[in-house]
Amino acid sequence: MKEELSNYEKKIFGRLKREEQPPADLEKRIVEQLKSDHLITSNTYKMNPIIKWVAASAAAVLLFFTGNYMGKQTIEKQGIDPNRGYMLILHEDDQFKPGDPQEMYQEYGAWMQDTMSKGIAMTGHELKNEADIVDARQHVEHLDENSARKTTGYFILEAESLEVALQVARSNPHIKYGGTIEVKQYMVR
Amino acid sequence: MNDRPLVDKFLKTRSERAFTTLYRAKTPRLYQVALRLTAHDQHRAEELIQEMWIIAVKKLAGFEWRSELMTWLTGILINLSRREKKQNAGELAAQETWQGDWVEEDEEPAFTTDDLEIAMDQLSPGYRRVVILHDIEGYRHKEIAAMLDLNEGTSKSQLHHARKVLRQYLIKGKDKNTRP
Repeated sequence: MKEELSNYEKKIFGRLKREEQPPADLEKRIVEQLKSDHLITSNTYKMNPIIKWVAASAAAVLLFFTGNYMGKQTIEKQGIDPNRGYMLILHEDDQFKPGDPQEMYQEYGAWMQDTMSKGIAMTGHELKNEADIVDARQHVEHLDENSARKTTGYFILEAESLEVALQVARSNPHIKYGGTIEVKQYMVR
Repeated sequence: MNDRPLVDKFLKTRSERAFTTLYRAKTPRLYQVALRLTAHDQHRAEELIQEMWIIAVKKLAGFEWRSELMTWLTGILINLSRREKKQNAGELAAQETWQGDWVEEDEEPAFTTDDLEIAMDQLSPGYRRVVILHDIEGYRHKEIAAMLDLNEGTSKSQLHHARKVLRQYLIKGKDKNTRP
Protein backbone atom coordinates (compact mmCIF):
# COMPACT_ATOMS: atom_id res chain seq x y z
CA MET A 1 0.00 0.00 0.00
CA LYS A 2 1.51 3.27 -1.06
CA GLU A 3 1.59 6.04 1.48
CA GLU A 4 2.10 8.94 -0.85
CA LEU A 5 -0.46 10.22 -3.27
CA SER A 6 0.08 9.09 -6.83
CA ASN A 7 0.56 11.73 -9.48
CA TYR A 8 -2.96 11.11 -10.67
CA GLU A 9 -4.36 11.57 -7.17
CA LYS A 10 -2.33 14.73 -6.71
CA LYS A 11 -3.74 16.03 -9.97
CA ILE A 12 -7.33 15.43 -8.89
CA PHE A 13 -6.72 16.93 -5.45
CA GLY A 14 -5.19 19.89 -7.19
CA ARG A 15 -8.33 20.43 -9.22
CA LEU A 16 -10.63 20.67 -6.22
CA LYS A 17 -12.21 24.04 -5.68
CA ARG A 18 -10.35 26.11 -3.14
CA GLU A 19 -12.98 28.72 -2.58
CA GLU A 20 -16.74 28.91 -2.36
CA GLN A 21 -18.66 32.14 -2.01
CA PRO A 22 -20.75 31.95 1.15
CA PRO A 23 -24.43 32.95 0.99
CA ALA A 24 -24.83 36.72 0.99
CA ASP A 25 -26.95 36.76 4.13
CA LEU A 26 -24.25 35.01 6.17
CA GLU A 27 -22.17 38.17 6.27
CA LYS A 28 -25.19 40.13 7.41
CA ARG A 29 -25.96 37.65 10.20
CA ILE A 30 -22.38 37.69 11.44
CA VAL A 31 -22.19 41.48 11.35
CA GLU A 32 -25.45 41.74 13.28
CA GLN A 33 -24.22 39.35 15.94
CA LEU A 34 -20.91 41.16 16.27
CA LYS A 35 -22.77 44.42 16.66
CA SER A 36 -25.16 43.04 19.23
CA ASP A 37 -22.18 41.64 21.16
CA HIS A 38 -20.56 45.11 20.91
CA LEU A 39 -17.56 43.64 19.13
CA ILE A 40 -17.79 46.00 16.17
CA THR A 41 -19.32 49.39 15.58
CA SER A 42 -21.79 50.43 12.96
CA ASN A 43 -20.71 52.05 9.70
CA THR A 44 -22.67 55.18 10.46
CA TYR A 45 -20.08 57.87 10.51
CA LYS A 46 -20.53 60.88 12.73
CA MET A 47 -18.23 63.60 11.59
CA ASN A 48 -16.41 65.55 14.17
CA PRO A 49 -17.56 69.17 13.86
CA ILE A 50 -13.98 70.43 13.74
CA ILE A 51 -13.04 68.00 10.97
CA LYS A 52 -16.17 69.00 9.13
CA TRP A 53 -15.21 72.64 9.31
CA VAL A 54 -11.65 71.93 8.18
CA ALA A 55 -12.86 69.79 5.29
CA ALA A 56 -15.29 72.39 4.11
CA SER A 57 -12.67 75.11 4.46
CA ALA A 58 -10.10 73.08 2.55
CA ALA A 59 -12.59 72.57 -0.23
CA ALA A 60 -13.47 76.20 -0.29
CA VAL A 61 -9.85 77.35 -0.29
CA LEU A 62 -9.05 75.08 -3.19
CA LEU A 63 -12.03 76.29 -5.04
CA PHE A 64 -11.03 79.85 -4.45
CA PHE A 65 -7.48 79.42 -5.63
CA THR A 66 -8.22 77.34 -8.67
CA GLY A 67 -10.84 79.80 -9.84
CA ASN A 68 -12.75 76.77 -10.90
CA TYR A 69 -15.64 75.06 -9.29
CA MET A 70 -14.74 72.16 -7.14
CA GLY A 71 -13.56 71.26 -3.72
CA LYS A 72 -11.13 68.66 -2.69
CA GLN A 73 -11.21 66.25 0.12
CA THR A 74 -13.89 65.43 2.58
CA ILE A 75 -13.86 62.07 4.20
CA GLU A 76 -11.05 59.61 3.72
CA LYS A 77 -11.33 57.89 7.02
CA GLN A 78 -12.74 54.48 6.40
CA GLY A 79 -12.87 53.98 2.65
CA ILE A 80 -16.03 53.22 0.79
CA ASP A 81 -18.21 50.15 1.14
CA PRO A 82 -18.30 48.85 -2.46
CA ASN A 83 -21.91 47.78 -2.09
CA ARG A 84 -22.85 51.39 -1.48
CA GLY A 85 -20.23 53.03 -3.61
CA TYR A 86 -20.94 55.59 -6.29
CA MET A 87 -18.75 57.76 -8.41
CA LEU A 88 -19.80 61.17 -9.59
CA ILE A 89 -17.85 62.27 -12.65
CA LEU A 90 -18.06 65.93 -13.46
CA HIS A 91 -17.99 66.99 -17.10
CA GLU A 92 -17.91 70.38 -18.75
CA ASP A 93 -18.46 71.53 -22.28
CA ASP A 94 -19.14 74.90 -23.86
CA GLN A 95 -22.39 75.15 -21.89
CA PHE A 96 -20.45 75.47 -18.67
CA LYS A 97 -20.41 79.07 -17.47
CA PRO A 98 -18.49 79.50 -14.25
CA GLY A 99 -19.77 82.18 -11.90
CA ASP A 100 -18.09 84.55 -9.51
CA PRO A 101 -15.29 82.65 -7.74
CA GLN A 102 -16.28 84.01 -4.34
CA GLU A 103 -19.89 82.92 -4.80
CA MET A 104 -18.84 79.53 -6.10
CA TYR A 105 -16.55 79.10 -3.13
CA GLN A 106 -19.41 79.71 -0.76
CA GLU A 107 -21.78 77.48 -2.67
CA TYR A 108 -19.42 74.55 -2.83
CA GLY A 109 -18.54 74.88 0.82
CA ALA A 110 -22.23 74.88 1.72
CA TRP A 111 -22.94 71.96 -0.60
CA MET A 112 -20.20 69.83 0.92
CA GLN A 113 -21.25 70.65 4.44
CA ASP A 114 -24.85 69.88 3.66
CA THR A 115 -24.01 66.55 2.00
CA MET A 116 -21.75 65.40 4.80
CA SER A 117 -24.20 66.46 7.47
CA LYS A 118 -26.57 63.87 6.00
CA GLY A 119 -24.04 61.16 6.92
CA ILE A 120 -22.83 60.63 3.37
CA ALA A 121 -19.14 59.70 3.35
CA MET A 122 -17.40 61.32 0.45
CA THR A 123 -14.08 62.06 -1.10
CA GLY A 124 -13.16 63.73 -4.35
CA HIS A 125 -10.80 65.91 -6.25
CA GLU A 126 -10.66 68.47 -8.96
CA LEU A 127 -9.00 67.28 -12.19
CA LYS A 128 -7.01 69.30 -14.67
CA ASN A 129 -8.76 70.29 -17.85
CA GLU A 130 -6.06 68.61 -19.91
CA ALA A 131 -5.91 64.87 -20.46
CA ASP A 132 -3.78 62.26 -22.17
CA ILE A 133 -5.48 59.28 -23.76
CA VAL A 134 -3.51 56.11 -24.36
CA ASP A 135 -4.69 53.56 -26.90
CA ALA A 136 -3.76 49.99 -27.81
CA ARG A 137 -1.03 51.17 -30.15
CA GLN A 138 0.56 52.97 -27.22
CA HIS A 139 -0.31 56.18 -28.99
CA VAL A 140 -0.96 59.07 -26.63
CA GLU A 141 -3.43 61.73 -27.64
CA HIS A 142 -3.15 64.94 -25.71
CA LEU A 143 -6.34 66.91 -25.08
CA ASP A 144 -5.61 70.46 -24.09
CA GLU A 145 -7.71 72.62 -21.85
CA ASN A 146 -9.69 73.89 -24.79
CA SER A 147 -11.12 70.49 -25.66
CA ALA A 148 -14.84 70.53 -26.34
CA ARG A 149 -15.66 68.17 -23.50
CA LYS A 150 -13.68 67.87 -20.34
CA THR A 151 -13.79 65.68 -17.27
CA THR A 152 -12.91 68.12 -14.57
CA GLY A 153 -13.56 66.40 -11.28
CA TYR A 154 -14.92 63.44 -9.42
CA PHE A 155 -16.47 62.49 -6.15
CA ILE A 156 -16.61 59.03 -4.64
CA LEU A 157 -19.35 58.66 -2.12
CA GLU A 158 -21.17 56.10 -0.11
CA ALA A 159 -24.92 56.28 -0.42
CA GLU A 160 -27.88 54.16 0.55
CA SER A 161 -29.18 53.96 -2.99
CA LEU A 162 -28.81 55.24 -6.51
CA GLU A 163 -31.62 57.70 -5.81
CA VAL A 164 -29.63 59.23 -2.94
CA ALA A 165 -26.52 59.43 -5.14
CA LEU A 166 -28.58 61.15 -7.83
CA GLN A 167 -29.92 63.62 -5.29
CA VAL A 168 -26.36 64.43 -4.25
CA ALA A 169 -25.44 64.97 -7.90
CA ARG A 170 -28.50 67.11 -8.62
CA SER A 171 -27.73 69.35 -5.68
CA ASN A 172 -24.10 69.93 -6.76
CA PRO A 173 -23.52 73.53 -7.94
CA HIS A 174 -21.78 72.13 -11.01
CA ILE A 175 -25.22 71.55 -12.52
CA LYS A 176 -26.24 75.14 -11.90
CA TYR A 177 -23.25 76.37 -13.88
CA GLY A 178 -24.12 74.23 -16.87
CA GLY A 179 -21.95 71.20 -16.17
CA THR A 180 -23.12 67.61 -16.26
CA ILE A 181 -22.51 64.88 -13.71
CA GLU A 182 -22.26 61.24 -14.58
CA VAL A 183 -23.34 58.98 -11.70
CA LYS A 184 -21.79 55.53 -11.75
CA GLN A 185 -22.48 52.71 -9.32
CA TYR A 186 -19.64 50.44 -8.19
CA MET A 187 -19.62 47.04 -9.82
CA VAL A 188 -19.51 44.34 -7.12
CA ARG A 189 -18.95 40.80 -8.36
CA MET B 1 -0.81 37.91 1.00
CA ASN B 2 0.02 40.38 3.72
CA ASP B 3 -2.97 40.44 6.05
CA ARG B 4 -1.49 42.80 8.61
CA PRO B 5 -2.90 45.99 7.11
CA LEU B 6 -6.39 44.50 7.10
CA VAL B 7 -6.08 43.31 10.67
CA ASP B 8 -4.46 46.52 11.89
CA LYS B 9 -7.21 48.58 10.32
CA PHE B 10 -9.83 46.42 11.95
CA LEU B 11 -8.20 46.54 15.36
CA LYS B 12 -7.80 50.28 15.11
CA THR B 13 -11.37 51.04 14.12
CA ARG B 14 -13.39 47.97 15.12
CA SER B 15 -15.72 49.19 12.42
CA GLU B 16 -18.23 47.16 10.47
CA ARG B 17 -16.52 48.22 7.28
CA ALA B 18 -13.09 47.05 8.37
CA PHE B 19 -14.59 43.77 9.48
CA THR B 20 -16.44 43.14 6.23
CA THR B 21 -13.25 43.82 4.29
CA LEU B 22 -11.48 41.18 6.34
CA TYR B 23 -14.47 38.85 6.14
CA ARG B 24 -14.69 39.06 2.36
CA ALA B 25 -10.98 38.50 1.94
CA LYS B 26 -10.89 35.34 4.01
CA THR B 27 -14.30 33.71 4.09
CA PRO B 28 -14.61 32.10 0.64
CA ARG B 29 -11.68 29.81 1.33
CA LEU B 30 -12.74 29.11 4.90
CA TYR B 31 -16.30 28.44 3.81
CA GLN B 32 -15.06 25.85 1.35
CA VAL B 33 -13.12 24.19 4.18
CA ALA B 34 -16.21 24.33 6.39
CA LEU B 35 -18.34 22.70 3.71
CA ARG B 36 -15.89 19.84 3.44
CA LEU B 37 -15.54 19.48 7.19
CA THR B 38 -19.31 19.11 7.49
CA ALA B 39 -19.61 16.74 4.53
CA HIS B 40 -21.33 19.55 2.64
CA ASP B 41 -23.94 20.32 5.26
CA GLN B 42 -24.46 23.95 4.26
CA HIS B 43 -26.36 24.90 7.40
CA ARG B 44 -23.64 23.57 9.67
CA ALA B 45 -20.92 25.09 7.53
CA GLU B 46 -22.53 28.50 7.93
CA GLU B 47 -22.84 28.01 11.67
CA LEU B 48 -19.17 27.09 11.88
CA ILE B 49 -18.13 30.15 9.92
CA GLN B 50 -20.27 32.37 12.13
CA GLU B 51 -18.87 30.90 15.34
CA MET B 52 -15.37 31.10 13.94
CA TRP B 53 -15.63 34.82 13.19
CA ILE B 54 -17.11 35.60 16.59
CA ILE B 55 -14.19 33.87 18.30
CA ALA B 56 -11.67 35.37 15.89
CA VAL B 57 -12.89 38.92 16.48
CA LYS B 58 -12.71 38.40 20.23
CA LYS B 59 -9.18 37.00 20.06
CA LEU B 60 -7.70 38.93 17.16
CA ALA B 61 -6.02 41.53 19.36
CA GLY B 62 -4.01 38.72 20.96
CA PHE B 63 -2.97 37.14 17.66
CA GLU B 64 0.82 37.23 17.60
CA TRP B 65 1.48 36.44 13.92
CA ARG B 66 3.39 33.28 14.68
CA SER B 67 1.44 31.78 11.79
CA GLU B 68 -0.42 33.13 8.80
CA LEU B 69 -3.79 34.63 9.60
CA MET B 70 -5.47 31.99 7.43
CA THR B 71 -3.77 29.22 9.41
CA TRP B 72 -4.97 30.74 12.65
CA LEU B 73 -8.53 31.09 11.39
CA THR B 74 -8.48 27.57 9.98
CA GLY B 75 -7.33 26.32 13.37
CA ILE B 76 -10.33 27.93 15.04
CA LEU B 77 -12.64 26.45 12.43
CA ILE B 78 -11.16 22.99 12.72
CA ASN B 79 -11.41 22.97 16.49
CA LEU B 80 -15.01 24.12 16.39
CA SER B 81 -15.81 21.23 14.09
CA ARG B 82 -13.93 18.85 16.34
CA ARG B 83 -15.84 19.94 19.40
CA GLU B 84 -19.07 19.33 17.58
CA LYS B 85 -18.05 15.95 16.33
CA LYS B 86 -16.95 14.77 19.73
CA GLN B 87 -20.58 14.95 20.68
CA ASN B 88 -21.21 12.32 18.01
CA ALA B 89 -18.47 9.97 19.09
CA GLY B 90 -20.42 6.85 18.14
CA GLU B 91 -20.39 7.68 14.47
CA LEU B 92 -16.73 8.54 14.66
CA ALA B 93 -15.69 5.30 16.29
CA ALA B 94 -17.69 3.21 13.86
CA GLN B 95 -16.21 4.81 10.80
CA GLU B 96 -12.62 5.08 11.93
CA THR B 97 -12.31 1.34 12.29
CA TRP B 98 -12.88 0.70 8.62
CA GLN B 99 -11.52 -2.69 7.62
CA GLY B 100 -11.22 -3.78 4.04
CA ASP B 101 -8.97 -4.76 1.21
CA TRP B 102 -6.47 -2.13 0.27
CA VAL B 103 -5.93 -0.90 -3.23
CA GLU B 104 -3.14 -2.73 -4.98
CA GLU B 105 -0.10 -0.64 -5.61
CA ASP B 106 -0.21 -1.00 -9.38
CA GLU B 107 -3.89 -0.21 -9.60
CA GLU B 108 -4.31 3.22 -11.11
CA PRO B 109 -7.51 4.82 -9.90
CA ALA B 110 -9.64 6.80 -12.29
CA PHE B 111 -11.90 9.25 -10.55
CA THR B 112 -13.11 12.78 -10.83
CA THR B 113 -13.16 15.67 -8.42
CA ASP B 114 -16.83 14.90 -7.77
CA ASP B 115 -15.95 11.30 -6.88
CA LEU B 116 -13.29 12.61 -4.54
CA GLU B 117 -15.67 15.04 -2.83
CA ILE B 118 -18.22 12.26 -2.34
CA ALA B 119 -15.59 9.89 -0.97
CA MET B 120 -14.29 12.53 1.43
CA ASP B 121 -17.80 13.19 2.67
CA GLN B 122 -17.93 9.55 3.71
CA LEU B 123 -14.73 9.66 5.73
CA SER B 124 -14.94 9.88 9.48
CA PRO B 125 -14.54 13.45 10.72
CA GLY B 126 -11.02 12.81 12.02
CA TYR B 127 -9.78 11.37 8.76
CA ARG B 128 -11.58 14.02 6.76
CA ARG B 129 -9.92 16.79 8.76
CA VAL B 130 -6.42 15.57 8.15
CA VAL B 131 -7.02 14.99 4.42
CA ILE B 132 -8.53 18.45 4.04
CA LEU B 133 -5.70 20.11 5.91
CA HIS B 134 -2.82 18.22 4.33
CA ASP B 135 -3.89 17.13 0.87
CA ILE B 136 -6.17 20.02 -0.03
CA GLU B 137 -5.10 23.02 2.01
CA GLY B 138 -1.45 22.09 1.91
CA TYR B 139 -0.61 22.39 5.59
CA ARG B 140 2.44 20.54 6.88
CA HIS B 141 2.18 17.93 9.60
CA LYS B 142 3.82 20.31 12.03
CA GLU B 143 1.09 22.89 11.42
CA ILE B 144 -1.66 20.30 11.55
CA ALA B 145 -0.29 18.91 14.80
CA ALA B 146 -0.33 22.42 16.28
CA MET B 147 -3.87 23.06 15.10
CA LEU B 148 -5.26 19.78 16.33
CA ASP B 149 -3.09 19.53 19.42
CA LEU B 150 -1.54 16.27 18.27
CA ASN B 151 2.03 15.22 17.78
CA GLU B 152 3.37 15.12 14.25
CA GLY B 153 3.59 11.33 14.27
CA THR B 154 -0.12 11.04 14.98
CA SER B 155 -0.90 13.46 12.18
CA LYS B 156 1.18 11.43 9.73
CA SER B 157 -0.35 8.19 10.87
CA GLN B 158 -3.87 9.58 10.60
CA LEU B 159 -3.19 10.79 7.10
CA HIS B 160 -1.78 7.43 6.09
CA HIS B 161 -4.91 5.62 7.31
CA ALA B 162 -7.22 8.29 5.98
CA ARG B 163 -5.81 7.92 2.47
CA LYS B 164 -6.28 4.17 2.62
CA VAL B 165 -9.89 4.53 3.60
CA LEU B 166 -10.42 7.26 1.05
CA ARG B 167 -9.13 5.02 -1.72
CA GLN B 168 -11.50 2.34 -0.58
CA TYR B 169 -14.41 4.70 -0.85
CA LEU B 170 -13.25 5.78 -4.28
CA ILE B 171 -13.12 2.18 -5.49
CA LYS B 172 -16.46 1.43 -3.88
CA GLY B 173 -17.98 4.41 -5.65
CA LYS B 174 -16.36 3.44 -8.93
CA ASP B 175 -17.67 -0.14 -8.66
CA LYS B 176 -21.13 1.17 -7.90
CA ASN B 177 -21.04 3.24 -11.03
CA THR B 178 -19.67 0.56 -13.35
CA ARG B 179 -21.79 -2.34 -12.23
CA PRO B 180 -24.96 -3.03 -14.25
